[in-house]
Amino acid sequence: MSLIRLEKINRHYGAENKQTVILKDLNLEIEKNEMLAIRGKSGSGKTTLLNILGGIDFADSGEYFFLNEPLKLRNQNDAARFRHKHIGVIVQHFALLDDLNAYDNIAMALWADRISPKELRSRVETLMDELEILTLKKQSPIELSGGEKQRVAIARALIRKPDLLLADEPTGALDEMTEQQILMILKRFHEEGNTLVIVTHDDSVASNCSRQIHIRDGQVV
Amino acid sequence: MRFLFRELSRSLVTHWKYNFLLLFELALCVLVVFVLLFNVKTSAESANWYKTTISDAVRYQLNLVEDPSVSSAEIIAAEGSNIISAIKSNTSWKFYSWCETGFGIPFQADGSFSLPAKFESGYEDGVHLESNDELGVQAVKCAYFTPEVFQAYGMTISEGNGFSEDDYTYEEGQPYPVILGSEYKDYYKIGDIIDGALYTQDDSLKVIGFLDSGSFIASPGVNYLLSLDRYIIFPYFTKEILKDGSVMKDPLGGITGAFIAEGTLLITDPTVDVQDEINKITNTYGFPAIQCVQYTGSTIESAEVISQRNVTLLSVLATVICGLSILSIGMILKRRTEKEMLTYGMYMVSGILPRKIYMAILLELMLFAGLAILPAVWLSYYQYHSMVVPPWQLLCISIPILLISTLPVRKLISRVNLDQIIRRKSQ
Repeated sequence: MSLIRLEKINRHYGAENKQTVILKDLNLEIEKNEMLAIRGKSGSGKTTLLNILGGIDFADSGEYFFLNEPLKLRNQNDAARFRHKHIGVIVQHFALLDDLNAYDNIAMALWADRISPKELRSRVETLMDELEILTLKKQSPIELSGGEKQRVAIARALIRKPDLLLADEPTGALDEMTEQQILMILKRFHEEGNTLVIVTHDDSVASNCSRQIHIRDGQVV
Repeated sequence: MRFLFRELSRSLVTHWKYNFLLLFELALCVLVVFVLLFNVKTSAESANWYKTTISDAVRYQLNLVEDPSVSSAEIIAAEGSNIISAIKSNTSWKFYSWCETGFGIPFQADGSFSLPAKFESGYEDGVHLESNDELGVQAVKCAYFTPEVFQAYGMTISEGNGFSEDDYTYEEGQPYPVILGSEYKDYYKIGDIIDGALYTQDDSLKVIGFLDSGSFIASPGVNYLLSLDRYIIFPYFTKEILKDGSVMKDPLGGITGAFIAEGTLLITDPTVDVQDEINKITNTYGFPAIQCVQYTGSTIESAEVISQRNVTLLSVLATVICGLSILSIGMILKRRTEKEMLTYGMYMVSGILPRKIYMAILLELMLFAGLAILPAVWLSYYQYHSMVVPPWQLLCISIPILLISTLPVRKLISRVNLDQIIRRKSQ
């Protein structure tokens, strides 16, 4: 069953007379429980596509179907509500908040949810334990290594158990060993029956995915 | 709610410099507007007082043509009480008068003043009473009132009693009954005996009541109202029972001249020729001439116009100050929000609605709105000993300023470009 279907998605930047086309009549279908790698050269529109999938960016035209229902995101409130319900996002270079410790960087995603403090603590600590970062809960992001930061960022994306996890270059800034560890975590998430879309330049990450697509000239080739 | 409070505590700490600046700016604005509002209120009260109390009645101000302290002092002292009796007995008007006097409250044992300087005679004119150091007393503002003054100016007693008929007869050796202005409430209570110097060094006063806050009296010949909040009011004694049982009439004869010179006639018979009637009385006793000057409509009108002009001017100033504060606070808030966009962006990426982020900012600002009125509340109690402008009115200044100042922030948050924020962070 298809989780996402994009039809004739167009996205461009810049003024009308100096437009840069990023995505052009792009069509894409993502099945449930798929682990999809999006590949392409720099500037090919991979991140733009990922951001459109997560409601972080909006297409200029085209149709977005989620669970076969057309998705109409009119503003940031709608988009945030959609992400809250369905999407977890791992952004490039972690984007952790330096004035919160590792625990709060993860728990922050649940602050607006109606759950008891006890349940919140239990969920965050369980996930931190699974990702082997429980001992770092009081640490500030600036005290963490790249791999530890990425685990915190993954935990933040997974804490609300999303239907779809979007990851932009999740191993981009990591050494080989850490890259393998992160990849294992993502694979485990996939094996639990979840859907993943990963933007990557890395062949080893792409080869671990169930499907790869290439973006060129704003289209899937 | 969890998000609101977590975000509040995070933002208070992370942006303490911006927050301090914001709070300082807002508190300053509220303070300035508070002072302006207080003056607007007083000015409006003056205008209203003139309108309701003075303008609808015909009044004459009495003026002694000769200086009572020079050539006619003796005759004024001798016949003053007869003149007052004759004026009072005329049914064409009601006579009332008051005149200032002095009372000295001794310094404390360590040589410091017993009361704050604001109670001193001459305080409003900036007069320092260093000469009193020799006597060791603090001269405070006092006045003698005839019974009609209370009615003429619509004064009410907030605590204790007004003067009874007996209070206008003084019994030698006994404390003088007095009514105190409202600001004395912090220092004395009903029944207290205040030792000091009126005529001798060993006089004492007995507090029988307190005037309502905001009691005024018109200062004759001057177009402004005199606040009685810091005054001690004595009855204008008409008799004194001496220790040997004999009765002395007109014990205040020595100040009769000043008393007549401060007198006012409230006309009840519009057909009467006031000057002619007064001349008849003065001629009967060979008393110096008393000139009667009607409170003219233009006097009242100009006082009112001045008050209204003040109200308008002060309101315009207050509006300008609020406008400038909105601009300035708006800029600070916008700058703060721009610095926070990555955090807000990550909140939104994590599924927190922009609406909730804006609500967290509002909650923080409501806290500032509450804190910003504290300096004005302190000033009010320190300077006036009461909330001259109620806290809710001060909140009506601080809250709208903050609400309007957040409009650019709301726009920033609701139109945020998350894609750009994330890419900028990635670079």
